[in-house]
Amino acid sequence: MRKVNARRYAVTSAALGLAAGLFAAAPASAMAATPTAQRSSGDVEFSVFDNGSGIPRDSSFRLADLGRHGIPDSAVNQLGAGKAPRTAGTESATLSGPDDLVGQWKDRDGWTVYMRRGYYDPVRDKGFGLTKIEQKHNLTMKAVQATTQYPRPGAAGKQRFAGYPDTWNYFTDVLHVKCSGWWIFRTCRVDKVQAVRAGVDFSVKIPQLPKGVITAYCEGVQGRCPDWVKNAINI
Amino acid sequence: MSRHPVRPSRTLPAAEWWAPLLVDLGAVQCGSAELGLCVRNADLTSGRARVTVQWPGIPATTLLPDPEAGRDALLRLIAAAGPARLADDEPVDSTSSPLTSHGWLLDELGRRSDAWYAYLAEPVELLRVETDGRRTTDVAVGRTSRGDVVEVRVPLAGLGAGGMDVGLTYTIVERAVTVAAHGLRPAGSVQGRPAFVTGLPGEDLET
Repeated sequence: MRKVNARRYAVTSAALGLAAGLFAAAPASAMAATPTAQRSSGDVEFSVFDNGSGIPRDSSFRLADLGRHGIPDSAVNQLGAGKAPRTAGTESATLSGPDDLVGQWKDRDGWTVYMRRGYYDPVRDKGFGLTKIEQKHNLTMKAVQATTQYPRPGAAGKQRFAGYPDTWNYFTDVLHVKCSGWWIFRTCRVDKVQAVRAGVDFSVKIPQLPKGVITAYCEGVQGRCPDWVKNAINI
Repeated sequence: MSRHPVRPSRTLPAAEWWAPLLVDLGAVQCGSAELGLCVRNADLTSGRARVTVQWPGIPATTLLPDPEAGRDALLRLIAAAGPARLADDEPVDSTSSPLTSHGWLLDELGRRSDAWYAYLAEPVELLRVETDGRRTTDVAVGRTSRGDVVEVRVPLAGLGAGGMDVGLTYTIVERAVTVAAHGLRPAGSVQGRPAFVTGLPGEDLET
């Protein structure tokens, strides 16, 4: 009993702390955007890349619990207020050709993944790289990066498809979540799961560096992934 | 929730069983184009690979390679029938021969076998890759639920040059399921199933 009470106290304190932080941080001009009783209740929907932190898929959880799964407090608070957390847009750059590098990062295992500008020709349905990923599959560089950095655990999340040179596929799941109730105490449940796959060539020399990400797509979805995949709040 | 190969490779469990063979065939075809080797047909319809190879002036030979034996074993098998060697690391360029481009396509098909089981909602299977060695290669795509076959005709001129055709496998499988009926030309049968031929999107069908 004492344990239960202690947990309740801890949750309440955490909530009050979040609230205090929110109001303290909000400038006067922004107070109109702070949660109201009306906005803070009702249904909220969002999506997250499954980062392996154990977000429950078969049982409900509290919106406030997302903090334990690597979601920033600011995003939880925005969701609590019934707002969509801001997600970064796609950066555009002045580039000259399909093989230009537009990004690089380390995957789960420290391998360098390269993203090239690529191209997409919708009439011929041909292309590769970021342009095809954005225009045909409605994904972003951040979504591909998350797929390679947070694939499914173990060997299942990153599998070799060919050698000489190496081609690998990364797999991850994006969870669509629905919540109802009040503020950060809303009860949430995963209502859709979409598998995302990214194919990466590691050692074709074009020139000197690997070709990198060939494409990325939602499994079994012809063409565009649903918007909620690229709009996940944790990428 | 997750999709798996219809019949996984022993050595690459996320890939289809024929994937290592096509990548290795691509390496031998690219390396041996100047020697006249044409990997005329890779027939997968029986569940066992039957590969027909041919050189100018030499009758065609049909081989039954172990798809996972590796490229050195495959090279030995093919070299027993005629001159062959493995490709070096030179990329395909715009001056490459049609046979080199055919080798590039074999490699591309084998390298992206996820296209055959994870990319589309509709189930498809790779049944055969056949070339005339000069102008085109036909990729026979079984449309499992429709009980028919669409052969997607791929022009070889310049194919693979500069790395710009990478990912063509996805184009081929999607073409096979999205092509309108009026874009299909009857082409006999494959494995007892009615077959049709079509071109790549936006390209005239080469005859």
